Amino acid sequence: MNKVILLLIGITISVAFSFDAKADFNKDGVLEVPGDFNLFTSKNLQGYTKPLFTTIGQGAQSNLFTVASYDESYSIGIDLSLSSTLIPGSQQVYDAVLPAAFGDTTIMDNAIYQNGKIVRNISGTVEQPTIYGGASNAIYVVAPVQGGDPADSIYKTIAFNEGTNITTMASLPAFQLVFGLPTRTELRFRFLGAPIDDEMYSHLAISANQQLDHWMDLFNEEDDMALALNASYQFMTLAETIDMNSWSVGLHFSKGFGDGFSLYGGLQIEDLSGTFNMVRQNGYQAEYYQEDGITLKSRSAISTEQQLNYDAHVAARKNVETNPYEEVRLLKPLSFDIETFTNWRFTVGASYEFGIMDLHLDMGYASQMFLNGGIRLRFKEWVDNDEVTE
Amino acid sequence: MKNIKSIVVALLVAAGIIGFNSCDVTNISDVILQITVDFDPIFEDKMVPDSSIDFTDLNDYETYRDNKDKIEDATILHFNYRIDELRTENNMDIDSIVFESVNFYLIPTTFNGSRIPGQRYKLGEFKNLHVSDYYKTAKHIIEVPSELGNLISEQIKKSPYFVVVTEYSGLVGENVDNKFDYIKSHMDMVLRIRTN
Repeated sequence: MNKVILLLIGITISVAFSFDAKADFNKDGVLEVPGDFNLFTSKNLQGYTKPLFTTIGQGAQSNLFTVASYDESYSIGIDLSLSSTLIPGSQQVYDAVLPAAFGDTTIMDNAIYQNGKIVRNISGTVEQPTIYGGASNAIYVVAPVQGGDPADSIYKTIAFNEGTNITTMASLPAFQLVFGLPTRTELRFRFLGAPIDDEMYSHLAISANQQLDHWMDLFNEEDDMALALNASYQFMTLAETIDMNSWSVGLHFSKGFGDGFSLYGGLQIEDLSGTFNMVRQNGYQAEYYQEDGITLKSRSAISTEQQLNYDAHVAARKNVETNPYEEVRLLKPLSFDIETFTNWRFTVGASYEFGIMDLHLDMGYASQMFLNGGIRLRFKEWVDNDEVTE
Repeated sequence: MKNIKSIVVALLVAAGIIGFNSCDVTNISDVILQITVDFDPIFEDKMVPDSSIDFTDLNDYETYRDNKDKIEDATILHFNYRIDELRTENNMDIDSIVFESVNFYLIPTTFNGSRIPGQRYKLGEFKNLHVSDYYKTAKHIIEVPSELGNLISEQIKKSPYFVVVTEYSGLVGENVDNKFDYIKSHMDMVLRIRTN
């Protein structure tokens, strides 16, 4: 369990904190997880980790712009920024899906101890903490109600993973190369590569900002105001385990107050999507099962070279044979679509330019409030006639 | 005007430093699991008041085994007690059986079940326990006080072996049947395990 959490955190903050992210990958490049994950189905792991992916997505789509005024010249520079997010209470819980028979009083009696109260015969979903949340609530189960030995039932008392009581979280550090074009265009590129075991986590981002107001004569030059469009596309991969992409489009506005000091703000829509795949140790292989997908074939029906793996799978299933979730009993892969809570954000910030340096700090309203700050250095700037200005 | 701008810039930088320093990133590497431990103490061919005892080795639980080298603390949160089967010597109707109290104790042991002297923790009790109300239901949950849970945690970190004692009092009423052929009960206990 720790390894996977560390992997995700490593992805989130690897460069800034020199995090040592480790994980075990199988020969196909898929992360292989231990028995701790027998508390999770794919659906519930999706809910548990969604706020963390939101942080990753928000961090990726932060620091795409500062002031909306772009020079009519070529330029080269770098920008380094860090961001921090504030986790709202609503993202500290998710609705965990319960096994199908929960709540059916002809099959079982159940009770949950929640906030000092006992609630009986819950069904459908139950609120449990996300990775950022607090204590979880176990569900006590007695089944079958009539006859049989409860010890042999697949409906047993179950517990859920707890959260880590996180209210603020550092996000992805962004190191960007920044290129200016004389069309009042700015291009930003960021790349992050972090080795994890024998695999490489890669994050590539391409962003473009285009000043618009001068085409429409929106502002007087002496007012030192500007309006620009920003767009970004990014993708992040880790072997066959993580494959996600993120995009954003927005408008930003700025006003200068002289002496290099400016205020800026922007509104953007954004999204993060993709897939997250893990397998359980000695996990499910379709070739071990008959056509119904749930009935094991006999050992003799398995190819000789696969029989040892088949034996390991059958042995591993013994540890989970009374797990109430069929997905866990069959040791099926943990796979889910990556989602984010953030689809739009409003940003306000300030920038102070001094020589080749530009300090900027902004904060924003999104599903996770954030603070983002950094420094930009513009090494060289020149115009079309090769006149070097800096 | 320049001074004001300098102050604003200084404030922005200060806000940034404070904001980034407030990140709780180190906390998230702690993983907190809950595991359920279950006991089936058998009270057999005895008169009440008396006790039943069930020995537990947490190594029997995969989640514990997988994490035992990384455990920072292991706290008992709460447990549920129920009766699955019961019979008195003279087949007394379960609706009429009421214990004055049933007490639950945890006693740390060595690997072979030998009790560690001087250590006995009372987990909780039910008073005036009507057997019919506890018959195959999940609703009788006792929360273990956090101070006690922390004390037991220290012990569990040292040794994963313990016994749970279910202590039955005498029965309420006169002319009751104090001899039980057996009381088959069940306890589900929830432990919080914090690993690093």
